[in-house]
Amino acid sequence: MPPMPPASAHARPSYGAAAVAGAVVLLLYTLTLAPTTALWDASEYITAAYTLGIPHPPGNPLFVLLGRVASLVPAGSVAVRVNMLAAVCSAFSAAIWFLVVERVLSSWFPIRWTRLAGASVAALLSATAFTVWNQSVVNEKVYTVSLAFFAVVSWLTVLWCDDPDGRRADRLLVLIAYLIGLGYANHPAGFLVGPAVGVAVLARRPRTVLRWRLILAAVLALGLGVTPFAVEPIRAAHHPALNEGEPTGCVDRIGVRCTFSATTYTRLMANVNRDQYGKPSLAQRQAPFEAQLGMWWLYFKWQWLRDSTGTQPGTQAVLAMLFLALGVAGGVVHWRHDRASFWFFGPLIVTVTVVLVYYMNFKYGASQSPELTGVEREVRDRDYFYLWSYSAWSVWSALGLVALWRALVDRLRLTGTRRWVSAMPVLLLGVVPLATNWRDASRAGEMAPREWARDLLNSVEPYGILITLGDNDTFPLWYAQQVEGVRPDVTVAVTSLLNTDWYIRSLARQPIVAYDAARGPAAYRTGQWTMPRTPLLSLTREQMDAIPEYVDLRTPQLFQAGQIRAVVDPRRLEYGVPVRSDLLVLQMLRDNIGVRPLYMARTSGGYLQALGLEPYAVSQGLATKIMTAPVTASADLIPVRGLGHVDVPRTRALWAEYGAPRAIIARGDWVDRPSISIPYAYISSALLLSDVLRSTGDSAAAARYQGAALDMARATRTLDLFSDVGSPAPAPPSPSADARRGTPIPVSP
Amino acid sequence: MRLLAPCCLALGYLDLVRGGLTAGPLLLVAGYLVLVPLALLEG
Repeated sequence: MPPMPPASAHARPSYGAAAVAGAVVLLLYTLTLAPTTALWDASEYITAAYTLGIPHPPGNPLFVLLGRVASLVPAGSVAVRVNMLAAVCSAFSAAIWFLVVERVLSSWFPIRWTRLAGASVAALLSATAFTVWNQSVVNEKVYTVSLAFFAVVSWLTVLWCDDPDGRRADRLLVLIAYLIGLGYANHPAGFLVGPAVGVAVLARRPRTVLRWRLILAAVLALGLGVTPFAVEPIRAAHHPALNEGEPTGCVDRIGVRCTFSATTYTRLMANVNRDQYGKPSLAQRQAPFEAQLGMWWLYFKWQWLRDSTGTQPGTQAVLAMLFLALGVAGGVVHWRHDRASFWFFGPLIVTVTVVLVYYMNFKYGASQSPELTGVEREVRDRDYFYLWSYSAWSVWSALGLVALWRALVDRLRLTGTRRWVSAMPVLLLGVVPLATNWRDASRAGEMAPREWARDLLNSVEPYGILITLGDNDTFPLWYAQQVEGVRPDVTVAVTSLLNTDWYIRSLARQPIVAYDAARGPAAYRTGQWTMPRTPLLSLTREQMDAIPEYVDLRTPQLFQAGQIRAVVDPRRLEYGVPVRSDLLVLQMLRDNIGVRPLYMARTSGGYLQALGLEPYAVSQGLATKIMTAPVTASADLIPVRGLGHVDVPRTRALWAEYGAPRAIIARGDWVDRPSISIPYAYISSALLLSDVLRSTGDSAAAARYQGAALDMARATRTLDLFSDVGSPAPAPPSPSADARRGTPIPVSP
Repeated sequence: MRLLAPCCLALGYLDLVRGGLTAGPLLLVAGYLVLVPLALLEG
């Protein structure tokens, strides 16, 4: 191995310039920041942070603490504060990448400003790669916090490599171990940086691994780093509104014995290990490995030109090949000019690319190889899992770009600064993603998810129960209720979580909140709404826990409750037999007749029909109310095949107050195809209303609703779903559930 | 720092145990992200 330069060979890091680069990136993120919550997991995480609750396994305790502190900052809305946490973490990472690149250039670029220019390109590229940018302007995941940990561990490892025998070297290694553990408490991906640290240590000072006292100290520090997981059982015992997995043995209140119990340990470990998801072993590939690499490549192409409309595939491919080549060149010059940090950064890139692709073992991507039919697909595009890969690759791409700059400089027949300046325009390639990704990465003005939550909750009468099916018709509602205080009187019950054991206990604990008519829609101001006095379910805790995962019934069954006589057809249910969630939905219906009206979200697809409840269904805006007796048609209740009846006056009154249609049209785009069931709910509802009004002779109003539907369909690029406006609405798209969470209990009848 | 860091974490957890939503998270974040790293660097 060639000798590595001593620490003195590297100029003092430009921390001030790195801070300026980070501030510029933060400004960019602030300009393009989501003004409120978003779809998928954003609402769940904002709610968890605000309530100091527990999001889905593994619970991300460090993120929850950070998010809670962010939510306390007295500026902007709670959602903006938590979104800014993602922005700050990514801007911090960009500043660290600035330092890394400056250091690599330090023995190669003699003039300081040229090193700073190269480092700035790295900061910009790493910040504007599509997935990094798009995930940094809304707190949809916890991965930007992980990125910040990756970056700081990278920098500390570089510092250790500079002087592995120095006075502070051992302390740096112990600190690195601690931060890896702490990163794990944010997300298990925190460990991904570990192998790269190990390789760097072995390459730079192999004897280190024989120093058992140091190794022991590092292991203890790593253990200290994961202790934020202790937050989970403590908070779970207080039963916050969001208490996923309920990792506590305490039933009513926190206590020593119930906290230090076998139940707490079992539930906590189930959360930490994410047992709920039941992912197959790595030997059981969910798609061919080459297809999984193909998914990484598909999203790699997005980084330099997202092209969500699919109109520039040629340019996208050219840019991807260019940045791939620049990255390879960057890796080569990294190897040549700073071997010490290469031994960290090279393995890091391999880990967060090839190893991560193998470990994640994804099915085909949601938008990968659309020509393939009959293959299993991820429910959404999961480019965010490779955020670290694309961020790190941007660093190498920047190095490749400055290497190109240097090559041009060496060929110019100029002298001094002029030759550097003359060749500088080549660095403008680093600005390409900033220009090409702005439209798709920006979340500025994206109000529809918040409005959707308000609209759906307001479609439910006071004290109603709303049955939802997946992430996107549930999490925004949690956010609206818990963070913004919108319609807390409504009980939201999501079927995908009703299949777990803890969720129904959590629902049963929810307090009954008085309906605030002044904040509710005008449609309910004239009614008399009696606050329920009975619990949501008549079952005891033991009876709830005893509900089976499924009942092996495959033929139609009669369900009776009051005047309801519904024929449940298991063949139309998701699993072909009634599962726990189906039993609980019917139990809720039975226990709340005359007490709480039960609704199903318009996004629930054919669930209503599968339960045989269509004769009792009345569509009111974005939700369908289950009446306690068969519905008969009237001037206001118009029968519609497949939907039951439509309550025309109520639906029109609700529509008058809906905010999402305006937000969707104003935005002129929709976040992704897998969540299209949300705009679809509005569009199909407007078309339905239009058809019904036309049939009653009100053609002017019918035209207005049809116009609104078409405007939304154009804005969300879903006109293909409504190609024959005027005919009955087509089959709705699949509910927007994240399948990995939506099927927590596999059923094999 | 070696004394301050564990005290900060202990107080943070105590506040969480009693149901606190403000001081506890602030103390834990300060402890985990600032004081413990500084203590480890001090050696």
